[in-house]
Amino acid sequence: MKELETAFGKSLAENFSSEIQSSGFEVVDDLYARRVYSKDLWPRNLILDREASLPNDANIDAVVRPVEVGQISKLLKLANEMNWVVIPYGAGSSVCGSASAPSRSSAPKRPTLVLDLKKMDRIEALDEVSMVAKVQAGILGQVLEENLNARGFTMGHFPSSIYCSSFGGYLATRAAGQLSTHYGKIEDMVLSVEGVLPTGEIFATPLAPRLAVGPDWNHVFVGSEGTLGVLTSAWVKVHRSPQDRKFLGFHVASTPDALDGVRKWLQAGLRPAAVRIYDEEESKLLHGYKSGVKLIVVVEGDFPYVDFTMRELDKMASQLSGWENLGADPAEEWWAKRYDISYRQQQILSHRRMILDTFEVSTTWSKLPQLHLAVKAAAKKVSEGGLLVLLAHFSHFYHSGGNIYFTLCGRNPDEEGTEVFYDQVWNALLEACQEQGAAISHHHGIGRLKVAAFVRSHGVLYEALRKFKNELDPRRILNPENLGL
Amino acid sequence: MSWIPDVFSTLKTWVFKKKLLKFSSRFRRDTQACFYCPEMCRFACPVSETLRDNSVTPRGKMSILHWMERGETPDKITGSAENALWYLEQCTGCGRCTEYCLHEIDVAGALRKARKDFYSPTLLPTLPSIGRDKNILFCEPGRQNWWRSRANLLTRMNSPEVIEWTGPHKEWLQGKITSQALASWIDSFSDATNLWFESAEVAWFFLETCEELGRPVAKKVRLVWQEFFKDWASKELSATEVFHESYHLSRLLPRVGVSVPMYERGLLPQHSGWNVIDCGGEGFYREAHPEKANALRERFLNDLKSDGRTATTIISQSLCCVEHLAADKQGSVYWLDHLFPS
Ligand SMILES: Cc1cc2nc3c(=O)[nH]c(=O)nc-3n(C[C@H](O)[C@H](O)[C@H](O)COP(=O)(O)OP(=O)(O)OC[C@H]3O[C@@H](n4cnc5c(N)ncnc54)[C@H](O)[C@@H]3O)c2cc1C
Ligand code: SF4
Ligand code: SF4
Repeated sequence: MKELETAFGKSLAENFSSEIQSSGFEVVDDLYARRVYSKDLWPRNLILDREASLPNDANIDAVVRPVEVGQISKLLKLANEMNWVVIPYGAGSSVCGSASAPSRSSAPKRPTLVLDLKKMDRIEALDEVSMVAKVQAGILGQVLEENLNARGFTMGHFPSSIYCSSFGGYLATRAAGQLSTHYGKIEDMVLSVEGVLPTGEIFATPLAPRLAVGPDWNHVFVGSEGTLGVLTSAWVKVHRSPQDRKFLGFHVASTPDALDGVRKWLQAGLRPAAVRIYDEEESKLLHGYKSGVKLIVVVEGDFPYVDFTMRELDKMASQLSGWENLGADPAEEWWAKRYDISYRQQQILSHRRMILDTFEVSTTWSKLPQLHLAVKAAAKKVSEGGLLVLLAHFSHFYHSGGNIYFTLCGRNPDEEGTEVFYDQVWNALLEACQEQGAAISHHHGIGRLKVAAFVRSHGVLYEALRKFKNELDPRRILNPENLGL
Repeated sequence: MSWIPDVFSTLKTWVFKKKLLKFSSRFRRDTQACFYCPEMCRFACPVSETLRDNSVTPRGKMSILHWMERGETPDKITGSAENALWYLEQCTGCGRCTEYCLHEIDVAGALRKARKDFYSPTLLPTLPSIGRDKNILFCEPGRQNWWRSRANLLTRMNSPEVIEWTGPHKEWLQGKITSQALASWIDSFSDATNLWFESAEVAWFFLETCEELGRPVAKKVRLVWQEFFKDWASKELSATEVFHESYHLSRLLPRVGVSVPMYERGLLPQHSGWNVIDCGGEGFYREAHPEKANALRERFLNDLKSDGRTATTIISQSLCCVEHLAADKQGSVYWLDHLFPS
């Protein structure tokens, strides 16, 4: 470990000297570590880094790495006493700035530390009979999955960021994996969470398959993005590793035709692991289709389940007009490259004036086609004078609706101020989405990026949430400004 | 004339889509690419994985180089030149980032070069004087007699002359010498038919240097154990045995034309069908940061345990790894003798 460099780091280490000596607790405060941990993967950070020179200092004062929950409790109590800001940090893959420290110029200067949870990374228990596991927050998604696989289980949570995101991050952001149509999203998997309140008290919600004991605390903490508590572990459902996996691909005449067919599947009770529809523009630009749209399906589970689901999907699809069965290949290709897509980011973002981001929204079936058109129209309008391409695919489906995952890529019409262009584009798209009555995020969360739209969409409930936050965290030490809190 | 801006804008959009959304042939392979990358190679880096530290991920380290390329000084980026070097040294040289990067950016190579730039290039190695020969086997230090007593193995390599490797690869890995200094020494092997290497790491060093210097000896380099194992290893090793191999190097060697079909893709023990452990904490890293190298070892052995597989027997071809692994009490560590009794 490196020597501590700042007065703040040294005083922090003094307070935790016994923890540092007796466990793996770490305090790090050198300039580069502080630079790295002041940010997550919010593209706006990258745009600013690209177009400006390196600032002299970082936005945080130290990084701490606890190894057990008692240390977090002690740290939060001390932070309340000393008026420090604490930002819980998993793997820093948030794309909305929810783990990015507020810039020092905009926020009052309070000592700020990042609480890196990655040293708490064990699977504490696996109850094979109940098929539940207790998992610590800091484990990386891929490592968790491989450890479960080695014991014959899967969690079924496969975000595209699985290599660079943590279990605690999934809980805190209400994340969704690629196979969520079958396995559910993180909130469907969680049975109980444990953590520390902003004032330092340790809590655990009851472990039960279902319960009716007042409001569900799991749902309060899941999605709280580091503002209401530090989550240290959770009990989640696991499944036996699938015996079989099968693939299907279709060429469909149009997006509405494809949506209509998928709705019929879902409402008939079928649950393929993944269904993805690429809209006309994305099918053309990224998949080389001359017309129509690409649709792929992955089904997994035990043999009888897969056979039954495949047969029914196929049977229903054959009765739909405009659907042509392309066999397994297109879906197999996606499967082989399912975590690769994000690599395009670096190509685009490394060019001056370019912006690139993803925007995932959701609504009910009857409103989905209109939402798709309205957001695309808004993009066209905002890009007048500049350039903006909005590609879209639909990747998570439910009995009552689905999501749209937009990829926006544009070029600032002006030489300077690309972050201003970025903000304008985001505001226009979020407004268009809200006009359609849709949810402004399906799985990436709010962070610092979507605060204005978040406040608008919550109406009086935002005020209620703020009061709740103030009760729980009277000194606003935990990730302030995130979610606008 | 209102159609002109229209056509112009359509054209611009077309160029934009063609050029910027379809990057098929213009992948960047430099530090800038890492800087803007969501870093899907992260979990592959044994150092950042073991230390759980975002600032020593492959991207974390490459970003220092990127800022330097943009004209920022190490002082400004990390506080001091020593700190910058400390970060660049948080790397075992294992090459997994290079292996996992879809853009085939040679991060391991870039970091090694950067380390060299930080060291003084004036230190020259003492080079062994080796005559020309048709067939040479470079064994690990202290292994000459072991090899000489195994004529049956040597016959399979066309009875090469057995020479202990005393080449300057550690100095080179530590960045203390430049590759140029090795040129004439490498040329002294240009007549050889085959150069057999016992250590994959040393072979990698040799090949990398040849490539850098444009010397044509690459085709002559062969790996002894790879050659032998591919016939029978999978049959011989039982499930309780652990074969430790420089897996990472085996992934890099094909890039310079040496094929290593026997190695399975494996990271943590549970990643592969083989009982492979590869802590990556060897060579230069072990010398420079022994504590961390030990932390890597513990982590990987623990992973093996948590997977229900005790390392009862560890077989390694690398002297450095044998030392490194032997400190753990859970199994006996052999240096290939176990497999090839004389
Ligand atoms: C390439 C790429 C692909 C992505 N694909 C997906 C996807 O398919 N699905 C998806 O849902 N998301 C996706 N994301 C977004 C991101 O990976 C998720 O939001 C993820 O859940 C964040 O996890 P993390 O560990 O990186 O959290 P961080 O980025 O470190 O933190 C995110 C937020 O959670 C808080 N937090 C983190 N850990 C804790 C904790 N233990 N207790 C309390 N608060 C905590 C932080 O304070 C912050 O507010 C993607 C991101 C990238 C870069
Ligand atoms: S090595 Fe490749 S995958 Fe890793 S950060 Fe760099 S560009 Fe990204
Ligand atoms: S060479 Fe190995 S240790 Fe070094 S950055 Fe790459 S993956 Fe990490």
